Amino acid sequence: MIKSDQSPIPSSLYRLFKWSIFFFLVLIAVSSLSLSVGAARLGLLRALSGIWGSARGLKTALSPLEETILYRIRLPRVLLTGIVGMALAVSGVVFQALLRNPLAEPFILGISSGAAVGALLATGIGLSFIPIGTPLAAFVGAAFTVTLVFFIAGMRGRLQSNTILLTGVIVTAFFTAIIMTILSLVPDERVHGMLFWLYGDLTLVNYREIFITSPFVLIGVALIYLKARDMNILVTGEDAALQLGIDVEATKRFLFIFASLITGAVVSASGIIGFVGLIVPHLIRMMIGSDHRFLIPLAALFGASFLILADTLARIVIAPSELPVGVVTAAIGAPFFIFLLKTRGTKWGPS
Amino acid sequence: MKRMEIYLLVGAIILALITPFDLWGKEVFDALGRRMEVPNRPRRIISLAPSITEILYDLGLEELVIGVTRFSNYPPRARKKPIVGSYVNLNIERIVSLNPDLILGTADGNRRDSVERLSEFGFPVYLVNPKTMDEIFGSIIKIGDLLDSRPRADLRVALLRKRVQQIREALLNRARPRVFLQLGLHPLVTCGQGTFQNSLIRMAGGINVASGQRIRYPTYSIEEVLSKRPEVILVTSMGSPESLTQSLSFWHRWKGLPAVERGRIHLIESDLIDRPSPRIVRGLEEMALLIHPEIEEMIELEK
Repeated sequence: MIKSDQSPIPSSLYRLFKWSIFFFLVLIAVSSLSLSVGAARLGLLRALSGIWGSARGLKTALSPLEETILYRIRLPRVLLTGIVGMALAVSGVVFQALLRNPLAEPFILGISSGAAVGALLATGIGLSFIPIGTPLAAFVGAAFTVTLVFFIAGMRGRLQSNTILLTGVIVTAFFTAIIMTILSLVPDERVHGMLFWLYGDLTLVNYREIFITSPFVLIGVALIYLKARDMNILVTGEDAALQLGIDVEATKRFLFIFASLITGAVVSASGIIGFVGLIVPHLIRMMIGSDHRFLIPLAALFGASFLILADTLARIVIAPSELPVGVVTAAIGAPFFIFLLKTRGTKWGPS
Repeated sequence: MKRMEIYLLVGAIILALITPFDLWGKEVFDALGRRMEVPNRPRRIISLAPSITEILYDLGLEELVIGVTRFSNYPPRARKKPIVGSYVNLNIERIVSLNPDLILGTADGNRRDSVERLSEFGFPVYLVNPKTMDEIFGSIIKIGDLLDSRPRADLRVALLRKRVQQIREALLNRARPRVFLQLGLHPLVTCGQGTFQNSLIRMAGGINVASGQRIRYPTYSIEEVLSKRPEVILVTSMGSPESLTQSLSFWHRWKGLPAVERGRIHLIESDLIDRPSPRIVRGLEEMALLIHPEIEEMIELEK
């Protein structure tokens, strides 16, 4: 099935273009919705006309207060949420290909927890005052965890779901212990902030975080996309890949590093948000198939839309308070995970 | 012409009345030493903690309050104000859209990152950080100062001090029973050093059996409680009316405890003893009466 998707370039390019347009429109729609929802009375039309007006350099009808709310609260939040969703979905795609298991995902594998430990330690020892100190520490945590996961689960051959899940459970349990230790050592007034962050917190986004996070994610996703063809072959088996002249070890190392990098970057910005890397790639596979040349860009676009939508829900459900967005993604993702486990096991792609 | 002059005069008077006298703000430092500019007479205040809402209402500044947090339940009419989230989970957009000219918060309840975010929007966020009864009175005076209500704050604090003094005198030279303050039942949580509750127990004429604990709110095993042999057990309500019956049936399993033998297990409303607000004095009075019922004749309670 994977082979049949690797059709000659022109028609597949056209198909990618078509789907990209579709998911781009979905992203625009979801972002507009998210921009128009909030505690202040600033609805869809005003928000959009405000943005449209200022994009063309016109003086807008928005009051200074409305501008503050739109440009300094809602817009940065939508942008960062999109970046985070994109990174999580793409790193899900990568880990699923590397482990050749459809249930792999940064949160389930414990990689997000590892990144969180890195970020918490960095904050604890004051590294966070260096602009990219926290994302780099989170990257180190994520990379360390990936190594650990592969060490426990074993590198070669197709991994059984049981092995993957057990590995994730053990790794997560270990890091949870470290996280709880850190939390009981920090002063009371910082614990609340850290707890909210751990469950995925997008409430305090500002542009500084976007400038720090987005280069990691955009460059990482672009580089991962360069390996889309190799990933198609990798998932069919390492022997086949070797026969086709792919340097399997180098490719895998490359993918590990960049998937860890984008995961670490977004965890340091938004905390632990689970299941995005599971739901999004699977929905794309069901709709379009398993060709990574489609899967990566479309999962990136749809991942952004999905998380923006989840975050919008998180803001509405118990307004004026907000749920951590990780609660919403887990509420959707956990049942989806069980469904996958029951119906698909380790099978790939659309049934 | 005459008529024109009258119009002008009336216009000038109206203009003078609506023009604020205080065009410039004042520079203040909050309890953490954060510097900020606050209008001389703030008119749109958001309270980020139930205790601060209580202080503002106690100072008669109700009409200046434009937003409160979710558990601001006292006085009951404070519930009618717009809610800006709970005090650990603030809704930044709601706060910004209410456009306050002063935000009052607490240093150990509100998340520091939310506070910094609000400051970035240019709002003065003034934090109080009272740890003792005296510091609570100090924070009432500071808030009074900030809001141009110093005389009223002085008056209220003088009254509160008088009530504290009354308790102190009534308790002079009385034996101090050992007290276990039960903040949570499953698990058993009590208060250690450096908490209001710890100093309240001392001021109310008791000895906190957990006063040696470094952890502020430690979890206790029943074994530790048994070895400390409390003579009075105070059960906090934590918002649920059945907590006393549940706690009673738990404690009655431990017959050897002096407090159980003497029937000295009492309920105390948690809001009265864990909020750094004027009502803490009411909490002190109730606690003193529970630990030393014999002083009831000697003190006069405010209705």
